Amino acid sequence: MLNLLTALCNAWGPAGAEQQIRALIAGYAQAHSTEVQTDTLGNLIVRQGTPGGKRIMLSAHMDEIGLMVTFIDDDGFLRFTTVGGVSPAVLYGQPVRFADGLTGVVHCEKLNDIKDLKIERMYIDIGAESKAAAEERVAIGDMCCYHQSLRQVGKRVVGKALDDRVGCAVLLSVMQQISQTPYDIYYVFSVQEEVGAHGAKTAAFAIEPHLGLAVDVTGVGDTPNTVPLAMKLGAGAAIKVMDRSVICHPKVRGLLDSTAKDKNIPHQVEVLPYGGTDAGPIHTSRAGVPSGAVSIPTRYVHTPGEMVDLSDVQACIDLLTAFLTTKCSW
Amino acid sequence: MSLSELLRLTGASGDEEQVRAYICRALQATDVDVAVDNIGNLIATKNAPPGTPMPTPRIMLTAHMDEPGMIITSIHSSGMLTFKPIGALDAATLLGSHVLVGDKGIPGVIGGKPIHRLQESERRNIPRMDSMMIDIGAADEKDAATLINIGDYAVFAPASGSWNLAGTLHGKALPSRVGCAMLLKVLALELPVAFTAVFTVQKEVGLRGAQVAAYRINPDIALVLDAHPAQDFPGVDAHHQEAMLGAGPVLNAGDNLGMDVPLTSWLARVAATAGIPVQWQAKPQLKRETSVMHTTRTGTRTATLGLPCRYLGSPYQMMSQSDIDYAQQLITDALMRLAKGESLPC
Repeated sequence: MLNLLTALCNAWGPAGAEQQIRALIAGYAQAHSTEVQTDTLGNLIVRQGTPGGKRIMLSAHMDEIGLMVTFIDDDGFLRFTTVGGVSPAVLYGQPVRFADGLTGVVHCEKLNDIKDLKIERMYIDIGAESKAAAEERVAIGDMCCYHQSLRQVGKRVVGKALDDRVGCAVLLSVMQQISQTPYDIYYVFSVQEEVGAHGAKTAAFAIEPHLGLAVDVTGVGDTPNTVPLAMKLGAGAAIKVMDRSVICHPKVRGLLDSTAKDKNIPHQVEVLPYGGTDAGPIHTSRAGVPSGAVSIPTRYVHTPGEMVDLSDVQACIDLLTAFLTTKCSW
Repeated sequence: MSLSELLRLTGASGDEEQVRAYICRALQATDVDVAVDNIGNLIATKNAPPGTPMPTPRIMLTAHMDEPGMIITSIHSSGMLTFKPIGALDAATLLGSHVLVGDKGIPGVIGGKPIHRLQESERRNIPRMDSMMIDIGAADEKDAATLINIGDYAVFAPASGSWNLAGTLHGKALPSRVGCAMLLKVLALELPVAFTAVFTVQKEVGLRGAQVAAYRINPDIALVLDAHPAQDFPGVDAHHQEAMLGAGPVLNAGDNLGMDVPLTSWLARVAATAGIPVQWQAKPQLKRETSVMHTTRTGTRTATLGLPCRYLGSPYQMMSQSDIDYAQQLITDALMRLAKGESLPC
């Protein structure tokens, strides 16, 4: 698991430029399925199971947040805009990496007050000595991501893009576990979740699932003086009740909950008063899809130091594997 | 058909009939199949000439017919009209603007509290839109009610007399009508490729026409013609100056949060081959018709050709004729490449 997670998190793939991460995931998926396809928007869709069975769509997004170059100045510094939810305070001083491996560091104009820290006043320094030198390496519209390797700290891991490569790792692991299932399973590694869950919308339209599940990270309330949330690291797979994009179908919640109880899989309830997941566009696709989500509790989401507990990741894999191999009626 | 005629038409979002009727007439004597859908989009289908080889992907082009405007919400006892904006208006440019109200096009002017009566703090700030009213010169409420109904639309009056300085266009509704005129020109060409041109409704209030049109047509590729906010005003930081007038159409790498960078890059290469200047930009936050079309059904490849436009949301907008000409050439070249079966990068 740790090797898989490390490979996925360290890979490069901001929203809209998922080519590298897609190729990596496709390589893993091909060992478990002969039906691996890329759709119009770039979603990677892997099919497994029994054709003619109920269609279940699992969606984990493979894109990560990033920056996009908007302007190259005369001295070779790059101005940028954000792709997805990037905080200027987190960004300040961070190394970033472009598609071809080029690295840079994000810094800011001189500020009189740290409250003036805004994206508009920040820039990326790629070490170019002139505009011409910078233009040899980057163009306007190029994207970069946090440059940080995954590290293990005790039972936990810290790194960038665990949102949502940990979900991708869960899907790949479930795929590997399952040999027999009554269902026609579609594993979707979706694009552009960080800018509005665009990929899941078109994938759901194409698949027309009978049931949809997002597998994504969720926030926690177990750090000093933070927002009051019930979720915490190490307490198991989080079964979503709602976030800002979806109120999960009670039957889907109930099925996940009873599966976890039957198999003694550690689990917790998730109510997230902000944020959204792929379950949002899935549940309103076409004539509606009963949908839910299994979430991995994560600290410091949208920073280069996101943290998850490996036991929670295992719980998510166990829960989904059990769910997908047990025939139940709905 | 002429752009100056299109610019004189009235067509706030939801009230596009004048523009639609004009375009229908312009297409009457042509080989283009014309239909109007339930929401009011004008769908013009151009078939490929007989014997055209190679099936091409299904191509859809759009330009929107509607312009931002106002809707009358009440008639004040003084005979003045209160209003709410339809689409994005720039409040700073409204006071003193000439407008036309209702089907009969009753002339009016947008008024506000007289300057002599403004508090010191009010003088320093841009007046709020809800403090303004439309003055049609009525004596009182009863007088106004003989000409106006609540729910009537108002739009900016066309500029009186056109000026055209060094290839610069100027007036109201430029983003909408320039796009419409360009689509009509593409429809008039004899290209070896079939495509559907949609003149959409209700773009300014939420991209609504494009959304249902894309669902109906289910295109593989959709290209949008629309304005791009020019930021080339003196005093703007160099790194925020973008979409300069006269520097070519804008290709937005991060258009609409939809982010079809490969398709946009392909358009940039098409432009480079033909020596067409483009302004390559990254502005992911901009809402465009592509925003809704790229996630329609199973997904659509989308890109916008942006025409730099100053003073959006005001009665006097400005565009460069050369940007329009270059964009016209670029869209033709792109269609020709697709006609030849060129496959798109992904």
